[in-house]
Amino acid sequence: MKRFLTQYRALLWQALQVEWSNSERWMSPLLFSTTMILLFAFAFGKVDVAFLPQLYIAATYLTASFSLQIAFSRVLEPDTQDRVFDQLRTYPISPSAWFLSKYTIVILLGALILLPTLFLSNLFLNNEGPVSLLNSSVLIVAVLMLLSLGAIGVLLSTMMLRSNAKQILYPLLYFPLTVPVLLSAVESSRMILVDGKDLSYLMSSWLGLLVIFGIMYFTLCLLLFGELVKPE
Amino acid sequence: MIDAKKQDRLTFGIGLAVLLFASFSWFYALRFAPSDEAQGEVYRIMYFHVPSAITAFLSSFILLFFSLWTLFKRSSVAASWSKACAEVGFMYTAITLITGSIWGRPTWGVWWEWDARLTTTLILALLYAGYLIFTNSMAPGPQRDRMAAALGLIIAIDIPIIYKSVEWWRTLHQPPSLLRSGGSTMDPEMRSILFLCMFAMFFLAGWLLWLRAINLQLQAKIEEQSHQAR
Amino acid sequence: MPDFGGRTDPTPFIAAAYCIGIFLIAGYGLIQLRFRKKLRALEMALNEGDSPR
Repeated sequence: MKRFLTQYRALLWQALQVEWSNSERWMSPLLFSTTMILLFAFAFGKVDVAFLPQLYIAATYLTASFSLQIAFSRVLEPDTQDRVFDQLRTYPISPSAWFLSKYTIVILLGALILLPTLFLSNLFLNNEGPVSLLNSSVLIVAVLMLLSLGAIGVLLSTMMLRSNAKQILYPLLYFPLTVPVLLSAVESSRMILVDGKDLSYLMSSWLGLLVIFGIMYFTLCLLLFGELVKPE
Repeated sequence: MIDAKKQDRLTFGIGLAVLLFASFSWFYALRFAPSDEAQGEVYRIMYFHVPSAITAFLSSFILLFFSLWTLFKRSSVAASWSKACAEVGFMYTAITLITGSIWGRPTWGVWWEWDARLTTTLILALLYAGYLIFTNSMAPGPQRDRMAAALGLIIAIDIPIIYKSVEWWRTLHQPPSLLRSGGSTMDPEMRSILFLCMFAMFFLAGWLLWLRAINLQLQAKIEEQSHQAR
Repeated sequence: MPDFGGRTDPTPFIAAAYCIGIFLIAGYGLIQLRFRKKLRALEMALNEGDSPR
């Protein structure tokens, strides 16, 4: 256990240093989010207040999905330099520690992108709305969505490392695989903002599903990651 | 070489037999199946559409099996079967979507509806396409086989989840009339003909799958031989 | 076939569905059979190249 934690901390610290040293890596998905929200604002034009929550949910989650996908697809890129990834595979590192460190960095990056996206979306799309659409319940739903997406993000990133068609393949596989997560997050948020339901009510429906999907994806990806990084 | 010729003749012979069986089932469905009370004659598309849909989803289940085999036994033969599954599965999802759309037009009045089954089939088609692009984008070898197997596993496990999510989200399709508790609502004669068409389609898909898998294995063998010859 | 009873003529839809489906299946099968023929020819050529003259 101690060894596992030491490895996890070392790998996480290495990843944090890389991400911190190159601010472009987390700034560009965030700028992409901002641009997308602006485009949505232009595309929606003047919107009836009654439709605002639905459009806010649609635009925010779509923007978040695209931006997170960009960030996730690049999470293993620093390891491809100087053949770090190949060397790590030959070291006696616990694959679970490796996966967890990447998962943690992906969640941290994701939060850096997701939370400002929610805020900006409320600012630009809901500027004439009577009530702020940014509430703690929606935030919790968004974070749960991030926890589910992060696992698939790391696994797909590992798979695509040596693919020549990464740019098209990653979104082509990522979005269909994460449809249940997106649906759960959108429906949960809609029931909170439009129908006025609370989280305890939602636990027996869409929110409960979101939690189950998250646990399932995390477990599956953790197991498969070990198989993928085994040396030949 | 004699064995190879024998094998090819057997392959062709079996192919001809399953094709004849399938053709008989389609002809029977078109000619002898009773009319439907609600939809009239256009429902006969069901005898092609439903078996294709079941085959498409069954392919993902077979993909799961061969992906597990590839991952745990490190078998390149299983990897070729996985790729064949994805190709045949992709073709059948395309057929399901096209025939479903054609059937939907006179029945629902629209070419497309966001009902659970069609939506899931569309997502499955995208996933199969992604799987095939992925396997073609990597250099052949054990690493590609392992990565593809992991992807196949995720796809196969995710599909029932996607289906259920979309179903809960929105459905306009009639409820499953074959597996409903309390018995089927379908006419017994229609049900028999549907099962006949289903088995014919399974055999046909199975033959296509086998043919593609042995082609991939032969291709890999030739590539290895020519590599050694240099 | 019985009278359509005021409904759309189903024949073009049925024909289109079956023809497209059969075309795709037969097309794929034929492509694979031709591919197998080419592979066998390649295999024969390789074996002849390996055998001593």
